[in-house]
Amino acid sequence: MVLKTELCRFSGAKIYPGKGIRFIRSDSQVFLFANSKCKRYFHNRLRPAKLTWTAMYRKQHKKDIAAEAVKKRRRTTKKPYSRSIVGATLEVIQKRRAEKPEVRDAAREAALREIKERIKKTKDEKKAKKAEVMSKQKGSAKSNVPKGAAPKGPKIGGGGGKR
Amino acid sequence: MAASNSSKLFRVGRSILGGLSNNAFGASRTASELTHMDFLSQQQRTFIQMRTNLKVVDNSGAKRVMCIQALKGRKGARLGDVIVASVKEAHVGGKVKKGDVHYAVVVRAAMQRGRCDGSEVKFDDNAVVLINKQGEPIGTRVFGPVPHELRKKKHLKILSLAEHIA
Repeated sequence: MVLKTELCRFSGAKIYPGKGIRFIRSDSQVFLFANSKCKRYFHNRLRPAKLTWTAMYRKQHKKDIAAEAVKKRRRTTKKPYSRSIVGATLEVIQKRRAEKPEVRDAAREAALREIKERIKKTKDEKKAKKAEVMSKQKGSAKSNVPKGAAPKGPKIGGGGGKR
Repeated sequence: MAASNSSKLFRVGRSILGGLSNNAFGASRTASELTHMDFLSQQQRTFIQMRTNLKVVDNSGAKRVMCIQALKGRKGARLGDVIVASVKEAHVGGKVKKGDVHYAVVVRAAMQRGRCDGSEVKFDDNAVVLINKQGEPIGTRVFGPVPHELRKKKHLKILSLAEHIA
């Protein structure tokens, strides 16, 4: 079970269930304090940004930044993680990683070239097909043009006349 | 200009209070930091007892009532308790008039009250909603926040009328 913790409005400390003093101002804004010290300081109008022990002060003066940086670095260094992913097994991945960059580049280039060639081939085929089709159509197109134009002429005029 | 005026007023009020209570509370504090409100909110708040003045936060017409009897508890009423109150100030043309005696539920109390999970809740004023003998609110609206403790006390109508439940 996960405990639902809240944060103190003054000190920024974690408040576990069963702890804390809830103060509700008449504008229905809710303030939650970790202890009576926080409550008292709040009512005395002390500013948490000026007290060294509050989370706000520590954030403003960048006190916890070193620890954060260490944490981040650790996470980034851990990231290259070895396990098998979907299609590729662990061996394949490790082999790939062990390869020298030049070899990889060469392989990639070769693959790209192959793909390009394939595309070119298909394009050529398509072009050839198109040309064939065009040459076939040209023979029939000459007879089509006058046929299409003739029936359209009177229709346009007829619509206007009826009105 | 206005701010400086009001702060001066507060300071005067506090010095008077300090003189009355005859302790060093008001005088020895750093005067510029504390205002009148905070001075009040820091004092030990107690039960709602006979002669406590309370704000009325509904549209029944009453503005201010005075507690004349707490119906529960030896020491007095707390958050969610029912009291008998006499209307001290009222709007003209409202449902209740000055001098009327009504039941009322304490919906906000400056004294803290423990919740069932161990935390505490307190408000910054004492406020009531007037009810009739059957426990139904006299007004048709409730202003400001109300605590969910009223559900336990079976004042569901007030909860449903409230604009904010804390």
